[in-house]
Amino acid sequence: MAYNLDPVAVLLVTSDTRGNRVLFRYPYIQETEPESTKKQTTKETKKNLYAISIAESSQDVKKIKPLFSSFIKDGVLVGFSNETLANFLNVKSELCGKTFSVQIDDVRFVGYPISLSNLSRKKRQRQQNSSKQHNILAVNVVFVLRANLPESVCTCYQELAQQLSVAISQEENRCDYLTKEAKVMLAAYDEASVTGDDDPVSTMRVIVHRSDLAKELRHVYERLVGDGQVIFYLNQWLEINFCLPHKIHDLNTLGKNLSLEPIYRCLSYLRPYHGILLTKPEQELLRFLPLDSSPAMTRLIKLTKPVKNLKTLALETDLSITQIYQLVCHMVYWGYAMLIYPLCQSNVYILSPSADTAVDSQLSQEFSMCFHGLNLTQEMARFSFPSHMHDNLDILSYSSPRLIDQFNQVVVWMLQHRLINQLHTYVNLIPARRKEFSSSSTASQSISSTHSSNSSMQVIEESYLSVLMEDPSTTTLDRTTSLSDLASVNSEESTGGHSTAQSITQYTSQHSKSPSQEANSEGSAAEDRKAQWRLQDSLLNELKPQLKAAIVRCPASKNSDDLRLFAKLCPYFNGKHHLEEMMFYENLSRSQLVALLDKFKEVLILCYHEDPATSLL
Amino acid sequence: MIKCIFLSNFHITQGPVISHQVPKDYVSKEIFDSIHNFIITKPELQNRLIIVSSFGLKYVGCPIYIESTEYERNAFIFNVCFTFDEETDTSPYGPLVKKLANYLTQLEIELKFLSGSGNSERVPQFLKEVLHGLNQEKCCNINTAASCTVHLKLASSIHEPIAVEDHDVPCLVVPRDVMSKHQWDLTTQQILNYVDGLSHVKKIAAEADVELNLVKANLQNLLYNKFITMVSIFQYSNVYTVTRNINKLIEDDHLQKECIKFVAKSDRSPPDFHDVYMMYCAFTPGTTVKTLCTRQINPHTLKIDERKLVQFGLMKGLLRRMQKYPAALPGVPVTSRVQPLLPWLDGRHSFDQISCETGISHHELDDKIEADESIVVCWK
Repeated sequence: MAYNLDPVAVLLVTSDTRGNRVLFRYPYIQETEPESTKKQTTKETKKNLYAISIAESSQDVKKIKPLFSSFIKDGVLVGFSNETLANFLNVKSELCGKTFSVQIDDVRFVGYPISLSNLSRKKRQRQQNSSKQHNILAVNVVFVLRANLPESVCTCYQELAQQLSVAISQEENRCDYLTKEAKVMLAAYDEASVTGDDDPVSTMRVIVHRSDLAKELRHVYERLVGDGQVIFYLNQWLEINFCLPHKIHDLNTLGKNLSLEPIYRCLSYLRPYHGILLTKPEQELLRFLPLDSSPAMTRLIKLTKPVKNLKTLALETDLSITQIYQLVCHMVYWGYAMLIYPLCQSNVYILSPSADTAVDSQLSQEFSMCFHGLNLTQEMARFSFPSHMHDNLDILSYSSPRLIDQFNQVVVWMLQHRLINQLHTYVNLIPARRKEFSSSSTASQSISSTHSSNSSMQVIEESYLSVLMEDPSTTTLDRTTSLSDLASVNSEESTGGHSTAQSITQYTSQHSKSPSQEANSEGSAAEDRKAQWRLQDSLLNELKPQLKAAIVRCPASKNSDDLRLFAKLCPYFNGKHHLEEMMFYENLSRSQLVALLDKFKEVLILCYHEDPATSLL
Repeated sequence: MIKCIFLSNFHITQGPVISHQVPKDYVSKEIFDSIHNFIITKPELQNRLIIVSSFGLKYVGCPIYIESTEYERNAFIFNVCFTFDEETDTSPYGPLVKKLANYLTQLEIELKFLSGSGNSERVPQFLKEVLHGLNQEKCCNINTAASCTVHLKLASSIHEPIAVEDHDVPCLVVPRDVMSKHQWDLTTQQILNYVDGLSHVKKIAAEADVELNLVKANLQNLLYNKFITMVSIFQYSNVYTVTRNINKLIEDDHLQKECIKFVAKSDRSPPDFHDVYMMYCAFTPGTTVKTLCTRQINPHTLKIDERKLVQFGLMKGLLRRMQKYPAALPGVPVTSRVQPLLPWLDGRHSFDQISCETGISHHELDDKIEADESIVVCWK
């Protein structure tokens, strides 16, 4: 189910001392046709000699009523005269300064009416001086949308309407912007009425030609229909910046219901080991940035490489990791960048279920433009099965380094277009049940309770706690929030969109902490064999008996180093942390980790799926 | 949830007013005054569904204009508005409001139901019944006149019914005993017996001895009303892959129990959760169910029914079917064996679709396509 996200029209409505009017509407209307045909048909029925003339009765009422007719014809708003619109889009003063939303059959009007009657004193005086002028009392910028659009899209449009309305009223306050522009527009209407030109389209053309505000509103509409990004300076003074994330991220093609939830979810899973991939060439991005953009942003864009993780970027740009998070959240929301796991040879990729495999798709043409002699479908077929980046590089087909380089570029291109997803390995600690303790229901229950979200963490943390209590060298235990708590906090925070990204600051600092941070401190204490035995005992005691028994049964548990490492990694074994995350936080090499997992494979179940941060699905 | 229903009309001296409201005084006069131009509208907007959001509430109404010399101003204007919280999705209520407005128009024209002076008791009673009926039962049937019963039913979702294909497999999502309580038509009753989550539509039609299109229409109805869900047909050559949702199975105690019960081979000895989970995790891209069951895991010894395991996984989104999309590369000639299939080899058609439309079996299709080097296969 694909939605048409484009607005049907943009309207500028004002209310002044002489009444309400629609000053500008874009796109221009072709209203004359349907009106005239309707009139003709009604006339014809009356003229028909053979028609039974029904007496003026209640039956007649139903006939006159228009049957259901759409207000949108060929993507243009029809069926509303300017007077009608002006009347109902100018609301009572109680509704000013609030978001405005009215749906009439299949169109929805969202706007933000602002009352201009309580302007500053200075302005009042100015107006009194030129007293003959009429006052504009209220202004409303309204977007006309299709009624079937999901709420989250309408809310975005509402935000833009608010930005525009507030900016216009601000400019009116500063330099009578609206009054001047309104004068220009009204003059055009007057001219049209003098010359007897009934065609509203030509009037609108004249207005666009003469008025800056009209030009700006047209620009807004065109940008929204185009790529969904609106960045300009109203009256060359106030910056308007807005993006329609639904459009930028092409959420439409993902199917399901249209919401921003996937983006916020991605951002909530942001971790220092992630990297970013720019969706546009560097130079193009830098051109997009407004003049007063933060130099940190420019630095980040310039230094970004798909092989670097955010921690490295933080070091290289000399920014704190929280600042990097803010910038990244901002860039992801605006579609300038996407989250990835930094490219490396051991990454495993698979074709995304939302990828368009059609041979003659638009994308495949773009692909052939970028990479001569390669076919997108063929490249996609390579990723039908999970493949390492280096699996594909067999010596025969990629003999020269140039070809390997090209292959890497193909992978980057496919990542940018979300054609492939990275698969990660997740680990679960679930021991097989042995015949000895076979009371079925209790066993399954205990597994679920040890693993249910936070509780497993807490159980294990407590076990560490008991160890730490005996160790005088460690005094503080500052870790209070678990990762999942953070994630939920973060997702709430990021709902504010691009403008409120800074509020993430306070929380993201804790991201860099790992679930078993405090466990590191206990390493030295465990030198003592006795202490280690105590560790083992207490650790396993805190786990459920089944788990403990199963772990002890593994041959590798006899080796104290392995067991210690295993105990340290236990908090990660809940299906929510992939190998790369463990490697990053615990400073392990892949081979070390894989070897350990192999030693304890009796109690572990491996699972392969995408990282929620890097996949929009 | 409907918060309030009010009837507003154009009073001959006072203008727009709320004449009846259930529950009383939910919408204050001040609020009504600021939005009344959307409720008692100018003639251009009459008989249109109008939804206004303001003051944290949503008002769904349809202004009606009845012209007649019997009225003092030669017209009676009214609007029955449903009021909701601002977050409520009001789309299912729109058609309902319009339907109710039509009923009331009829009742007003014939009986002066709304404008008549003797009905000041009956109208609020009627609105109350509508409010309760829709909130509690999601439908109401109210006898308002000797020849008029107001039937309103809230549809769970309004969308085009999803087409049912021959190879789809319907699964019940509501327990069977709850299903049988509904008064289904005879055909549906007959079909329902054969909906076991394993047989596909065509097979059900054959077994139930009902014409295929009738079966499809019936299943479509059930699907629309969310009594069944459709999964793809189970074959041992299918490839499934586990999704991120698999974590739900670990966290959600209830789902876990449901799963173990569902996938058990026999009710008396349920499988171990470890085994069920392990089996789900073993579904990786490139592994067919056949390979999985013969080489990696023996579901029989684990007391797991692999068909039900897959079915449960698909229904709950723990598994995702991977489809094969063959595509003929442009500019490369294909062999004569594949020539007749060429229209389907554009990368848009999956194996299921091709074999359904051409009548060629998966196996045969596989043979033909693998033999031809100019065709690539994408799994997704």
